[in-house]
Amino acid sequence: MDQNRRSFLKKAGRTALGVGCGFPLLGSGCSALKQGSTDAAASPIQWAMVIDVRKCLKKEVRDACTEACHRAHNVPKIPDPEEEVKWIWTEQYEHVFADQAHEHTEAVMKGAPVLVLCNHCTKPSCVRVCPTRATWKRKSDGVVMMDMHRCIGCRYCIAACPYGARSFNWRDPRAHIARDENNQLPSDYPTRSKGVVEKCNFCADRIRLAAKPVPACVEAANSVPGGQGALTFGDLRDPDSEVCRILNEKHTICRRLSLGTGPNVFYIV
Amino acid sequence: MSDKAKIGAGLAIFVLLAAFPIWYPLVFGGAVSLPEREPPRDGSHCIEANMVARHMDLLNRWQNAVVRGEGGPQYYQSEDYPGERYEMSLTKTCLKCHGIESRTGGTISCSECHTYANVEIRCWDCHLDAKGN
Repeated sequence: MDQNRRSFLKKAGRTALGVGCGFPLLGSGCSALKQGSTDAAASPIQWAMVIDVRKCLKKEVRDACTEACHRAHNVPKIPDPEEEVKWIWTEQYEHVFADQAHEHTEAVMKGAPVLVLCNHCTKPSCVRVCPTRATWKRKSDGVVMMDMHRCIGCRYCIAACPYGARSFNWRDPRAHIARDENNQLPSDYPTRSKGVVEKCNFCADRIRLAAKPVPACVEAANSVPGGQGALTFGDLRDPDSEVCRILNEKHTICRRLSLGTGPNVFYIV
Repeated sequence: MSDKAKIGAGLAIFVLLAAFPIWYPLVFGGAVSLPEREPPRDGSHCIEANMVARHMDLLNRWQNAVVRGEGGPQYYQSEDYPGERYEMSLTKTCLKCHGIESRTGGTISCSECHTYANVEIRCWDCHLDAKGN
């Protein structure tokens, strides 16, 4: 074979180009494989919630949920909407399901109040952006947790969460928590400090020890007349659980499914 | 040599000023003494022997283990007292004896030593003493 300088340089150039193009492909292939394996090793439990929007149309039911949650976790009540802290609260149907509402949405749902909370996503975007791993998805039960000791208050997670489920403590929250006549806070749950982000934790403190875990909001809804079954809590991995039974039987929707975060709070509308 | 007196006086003033932290408390009192630690009156002991040196590291490890753990209580095996097991919990284990304020009227509260050492602890910004505040 006639090997001159020109043909050698041509071959070398092609090889370099081939290797250069090949490495990124190889890299993305590897990371895709990795991604697949983490999905396969999903948590043994995935807590989830089903919210029956019609049963929550009654104000008492929604108020009971919010009140019970905010009392159980010493959530401050700050009137300024720019600075308020919320774990479970009410939004209008059109805002909750912006991609589902249309001008012919049934009258009862137009402007209807809907309970919203952290979706404890299967692929939480807040966890991906946190620079200090102050928020993470717990492997044992899929709860998206917060470590207030590590939170540096950068608020990347607030920007990343498509559901607005996270609140920032712009000021010391203790001054805004209602105390009882003995000057005691409503609960023993640690308050937060100025400069950290907080959100619903699916009552991680309550459910970790209980045989049949029930978060505070679900318990409160069930105790209100007409609110029984408004909120249902259970394990998605257990086919016999109440949430799985409801998901099998009824038509449910999720918030902003197209984003691929995999929300674990479902709505019957 | 008239300068000798001047230099001597200057030196004396300098030494007096430099030694101010030493003689001031001796002359005028008000020295802060090391808080006296009072051993438990019921003969019990803390989870390890030298907790003055170890507690910060231990609390840090407990905090990470519990907050970032998989849920459920976690236990700590004492190294100095083999066979003794304690739940990793500030309120349920530490605060049983050590209050934010001392429970015995003695000197076992966190603040006594930390005030002396000028170490600002931020635990109580969020954590509550058992039942309420």
